[in-house]
Amino acid sequence: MILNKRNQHKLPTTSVKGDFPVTYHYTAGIAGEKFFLALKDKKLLANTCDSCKFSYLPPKMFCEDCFDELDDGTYKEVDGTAELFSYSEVFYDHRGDKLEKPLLLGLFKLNGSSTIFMHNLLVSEPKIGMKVKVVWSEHRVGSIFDLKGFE
Amino acid sequence: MEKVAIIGVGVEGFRSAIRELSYKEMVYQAAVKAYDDAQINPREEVDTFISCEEDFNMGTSITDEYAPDQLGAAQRTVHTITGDGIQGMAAAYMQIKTGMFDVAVVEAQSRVSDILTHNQITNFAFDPLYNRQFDAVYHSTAALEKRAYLEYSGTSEEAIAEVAAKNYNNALKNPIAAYGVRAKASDIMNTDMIASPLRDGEISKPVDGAVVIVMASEKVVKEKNGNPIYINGISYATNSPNFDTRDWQYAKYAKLTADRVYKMAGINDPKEEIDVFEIDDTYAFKELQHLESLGVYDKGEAGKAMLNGDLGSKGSTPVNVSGGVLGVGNAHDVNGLQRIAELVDQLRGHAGRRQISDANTGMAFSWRGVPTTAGALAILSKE
Repeated sequence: MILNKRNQHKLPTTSVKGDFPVTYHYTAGIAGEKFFLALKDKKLLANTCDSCKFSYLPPKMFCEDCFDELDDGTYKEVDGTAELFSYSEVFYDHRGDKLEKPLLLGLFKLNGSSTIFMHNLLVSEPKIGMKVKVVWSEHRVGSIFDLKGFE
Repeated sequence: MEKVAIIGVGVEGFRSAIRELSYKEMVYQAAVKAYDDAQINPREEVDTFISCEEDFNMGTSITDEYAPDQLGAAQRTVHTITGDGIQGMAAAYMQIKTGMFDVAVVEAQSRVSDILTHNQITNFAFDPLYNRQFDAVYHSTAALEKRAYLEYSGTSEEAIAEVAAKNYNNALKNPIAAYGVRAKASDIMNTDMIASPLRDGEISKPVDGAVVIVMASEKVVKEKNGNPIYINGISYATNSPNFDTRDWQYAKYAKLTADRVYKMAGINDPKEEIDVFEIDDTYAFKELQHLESLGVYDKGEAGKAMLNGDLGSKGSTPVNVSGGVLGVGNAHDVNGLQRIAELVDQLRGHAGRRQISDANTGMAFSWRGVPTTAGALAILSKE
């Protein structure tokens, strides 16, 4: 029996450093592909479940609630107008380091959808419930940043 | 139906960094205490072992392979759950209820101080196509939710700052708590804004530590004649992993879980029937949002109860007398078992200066943190 051995630890803690490259490519899928390709043409797509009438933006291949498949006929373009549901002025980046310029994120309820959508908020005085509209990036490649945000 | 009891608890930690022990040695320390408390020999008397941990947080792939030996479970029946410790307890509960197992051991551990890139690992939990590409600290998701909750419930910032101050002060009386401090609500309000409206003082800070729980069937409880605390109800639920379909204003996962657990435990009015509350406060506003979503208070009432003193250790609904996740420290998937360890102390009458008088029934609720909408709830009692 060795009593309190750990309290007698007089040496610096021994440890080794290890890291591991973690790289993926993430497939957008049937519904995601439609959504991202439409962004290139300045179009926002939603789709609606025939059974429960819930509208998804971004669109989904199946309804979370009914588990029904949502086929091509369920898609429609929405006009990009939205209501501000929540927002945050973010002062730290994803590493936890201070951002040079704070980032303003918003949660939006887009007209024609039943869901919440997160993106950049491009207004100086945000207020919950305010009406906003999508702003498009000039250079569009089929990614989430084809939208600049909402103002 | 046969009851299931907790017959042993062992805690190692909690500290911001447990530098002198390897993670295996840290779990071993907690396990030895739990087996001594339960008066059992793990090499002979335990039928099933469950560990709760995640690869990315442990720094190895297939981390479950490394779980057995420090629990006394080498070459025995072991499985790992990548979830909170209360989810592990629910699995153990079901195994005992089958009648095939009499004694189950549940372990959860946190070695967050070993992770040099913890922010990035948490960020990696976000949806890669729609959410992860925004260069924002993961707390920003909690900030968006806090603002939505404030708007929905009418809760004041002052009430939330009071929650944080209460829990830091409560932790001063808890020897396992890492972050006890004499704090006032104004101190919390003066801390840095991390992502508005979320301040640094409202955000729990990481800790290392491990908890091991021994659970047993009534047959073993009678043989051992120890100090059992019974599990009257236990379950878990997830709302939605997706930002687009989750509820941002209230914690639907808490409501879904509570509906099941109250039915199981025969609870009609949790506020009146439960004596001690250990409720997730990973972010200070979460304590109030969870209390309302669990049906302990109506919408918008938990903040008022905080300002009235009802949530204090001498109040009618004492919440987080342990110090909560804010005061004890954020041990991630151990947070549920932190809550359970406190309830067992309280219901046994072993809580020292934190002891709530006439504590017969308690509830423990855990949340897996950003970006999850996963919660787990257990109701414990002396009988």
